[in-house]
Amino acid sequence: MPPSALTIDLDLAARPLATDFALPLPAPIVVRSQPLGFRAEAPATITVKTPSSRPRVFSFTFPEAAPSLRLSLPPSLPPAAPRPKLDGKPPTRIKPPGDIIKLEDRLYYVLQPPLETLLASDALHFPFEPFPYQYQGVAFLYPRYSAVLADEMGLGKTMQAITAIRMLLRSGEIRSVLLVCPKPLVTNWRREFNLWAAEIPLTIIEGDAAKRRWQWTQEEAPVKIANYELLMRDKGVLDESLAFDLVVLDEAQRIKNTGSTTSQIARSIRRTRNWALTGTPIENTPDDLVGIFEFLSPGYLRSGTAPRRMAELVREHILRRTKDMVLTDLPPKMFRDAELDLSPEQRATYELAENEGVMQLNAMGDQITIQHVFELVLRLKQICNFDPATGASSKLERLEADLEEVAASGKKAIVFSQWVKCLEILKHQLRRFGPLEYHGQVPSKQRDGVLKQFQEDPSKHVILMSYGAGSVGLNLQFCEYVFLFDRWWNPAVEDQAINRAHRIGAAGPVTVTRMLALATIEERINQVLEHKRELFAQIIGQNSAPPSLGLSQAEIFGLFNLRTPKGVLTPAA
Amino acid sequence: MAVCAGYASYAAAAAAKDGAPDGPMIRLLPSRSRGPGTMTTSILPPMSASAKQVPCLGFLTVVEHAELGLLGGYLLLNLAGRPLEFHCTAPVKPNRAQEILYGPTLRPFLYGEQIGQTLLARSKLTPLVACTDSESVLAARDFTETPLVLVREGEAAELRSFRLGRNHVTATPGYGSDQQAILAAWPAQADHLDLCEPFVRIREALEEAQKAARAA
Repeated sequence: MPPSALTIDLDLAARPLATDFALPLPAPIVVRSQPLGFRAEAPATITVKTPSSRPRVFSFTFPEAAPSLRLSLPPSLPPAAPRPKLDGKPPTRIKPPGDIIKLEDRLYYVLQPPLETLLASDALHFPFEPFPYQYQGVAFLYPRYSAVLADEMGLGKTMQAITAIRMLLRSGEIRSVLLVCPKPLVTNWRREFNLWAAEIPLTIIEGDAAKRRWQWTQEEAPVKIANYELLMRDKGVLDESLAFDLVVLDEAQRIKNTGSTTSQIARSIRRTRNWALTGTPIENTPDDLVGIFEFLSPGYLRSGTAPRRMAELVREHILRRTKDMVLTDLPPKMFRDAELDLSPEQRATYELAENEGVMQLNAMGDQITIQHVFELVLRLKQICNFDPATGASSKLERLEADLEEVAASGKKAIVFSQWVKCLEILKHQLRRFGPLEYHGQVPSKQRDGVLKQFQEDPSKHVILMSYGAGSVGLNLQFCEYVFLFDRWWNPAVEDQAINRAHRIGAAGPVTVTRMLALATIEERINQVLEHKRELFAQIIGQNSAPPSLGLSQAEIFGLFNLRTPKGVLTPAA
Repeated sequence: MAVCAGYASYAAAAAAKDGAPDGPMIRLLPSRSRGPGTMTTSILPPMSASAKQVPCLGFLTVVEHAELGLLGGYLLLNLAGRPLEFHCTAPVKPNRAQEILYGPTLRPFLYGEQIGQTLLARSKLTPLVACTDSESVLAARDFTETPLVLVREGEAAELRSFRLGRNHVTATPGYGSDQQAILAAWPAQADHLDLCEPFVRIREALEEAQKAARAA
């Protein structure tokens, strides 16, 4: 309400003011007014802002996967395995490798679905449900440009590599693959591709030079399979304009020696990704690994690197699992050492040969070489198998006895020897067990038929194999018995041979019989082999390596108590 | 055995059989080969020209980081579950005044209006449906035409929920008609998808992005 002025009549009586002067003065009345303000000050206000600006956004766009492979499966294939059931297990995720730096690239892998989802959504046909560790192997390979899958033999490196290749082809990340393997394994790879990825067209590089040249340049099949020997013959073609998005080397220990032609040619192939598959990344020395990495990433590893440092460097690139680690339900593998006395005929021949041989070696003085010693070793080992004069063999007697039992129970066995000639003798002696042969002198085209017959024909109880032809890549898990008629120099090769039978799908326990002639060179070599086996286990188990796994010069000469000559000798493989 | 009778004829035959559009079934990309031992600039294959037409699903969530605040992530997947787009926000932290003034509406405001709306607007692709595992994110539905549903792992079916493939989802309250639209658009190829799983990926991606930010 506005203030209003009121008029008040004061009507006051005026009275003179008494002073000391004679006349009183009239005192004027003065009225003073003072305006009083009634307006109040506006209150102070405080404004609180609430931010309304949008948050900053970071965006990443990924390519759409390639159109699904609408490939019809051959009618003979069994129905696809049911979708993987996780049963409470965590799904398998693809993790970006440490050497992928760009955030966009890392997110591409982080944001990929679990493998189980991918495989189910793409309706990928699988004849069997993969094991969880196999999913992990695929997830390891998939994002890697340099990788070594070093699983123990029998864990399915082939299947894991094929599945990873299949997924990369489907996602459009790769379009051309070259797979290189030893010649005897070409048919095995073809069979495995047909089993695990039947929709992927293959080209097998084979035939005469003109045909191969045409095959190399074909761009229609995304996967080419070649053997190591052909790489050397077709070096000229490879040097031209060929390039691959992925090169996979099976049995990659073949390139461990960087000075070998095979290694040089493999390294010269133009490629984007490299994978190496091997069950024995270190056969003899840590330098074997350096050789493999010269293919994967030249200069990444150097000879002489301290084992601990080397282990650190390769950790990101190598995946190694053993059966003990991943297949707790795999049937056991039992070793029996059949330690046998030579037959009297063998013993007489053996003693003569060794004594004469050692005398000759001693007589050579400083002219002696490691080759001379090897020749004597091989000669003596052959006598341990069979007496050359009479054919007597305590090993054969034992083998026959064991095979009687194998055949009677309807089982099958593999017999390994390092000599084809020995296998031929065995074939004759073991004919009542229906022996089949699988070695370097059996033509490649016949080998699949041999394996098929061995698996399907109930009258064929034994297959005779050489270490070279039968030690890698074959699946003979229906065999429950393995006989090592003679021993190989390297325990890793023996393990590969044994694992032809002791692998996924093994029907039951695998019994390995290692035949050994007592008080002979075999027993002495066995002691060295046992030592090597322990060292190999140390490397694999602890990821650190002893200086050397090969037979040293002193060890080889020590087999006969020979004096070591001067000069540097190469360790034996 | 003739393993490869010619890929082109093989592809054509298979395409004809399936009634698929012509062209190879394995996309043949331009070769990007290089010399051994060197890395390409980016590992990603080139983009598909028809990316815009790709049917996809969206997954939107907000993660609470103890120190940084709220981080939003939005992932678009094709029907096979492969990533097509990913968007994430810088950390969002409400101030004290917002906490007092917004009261109980703060969470839907931050999750839905601030973060959710922003992320949904950034995608190039339009998903058939967007899923979230956070109820507060549903507030973003007011700012988008895309149906937004709540999906929670192991949650029993509620009154308002309906089945989407192998999952139970709940439409945003007030948008009851979304259910019909979603069911009409839902492709059978997506039935196998676990709609909870992509949120694990988003969380890992946000973590990866934070690691990169810390390193930068």
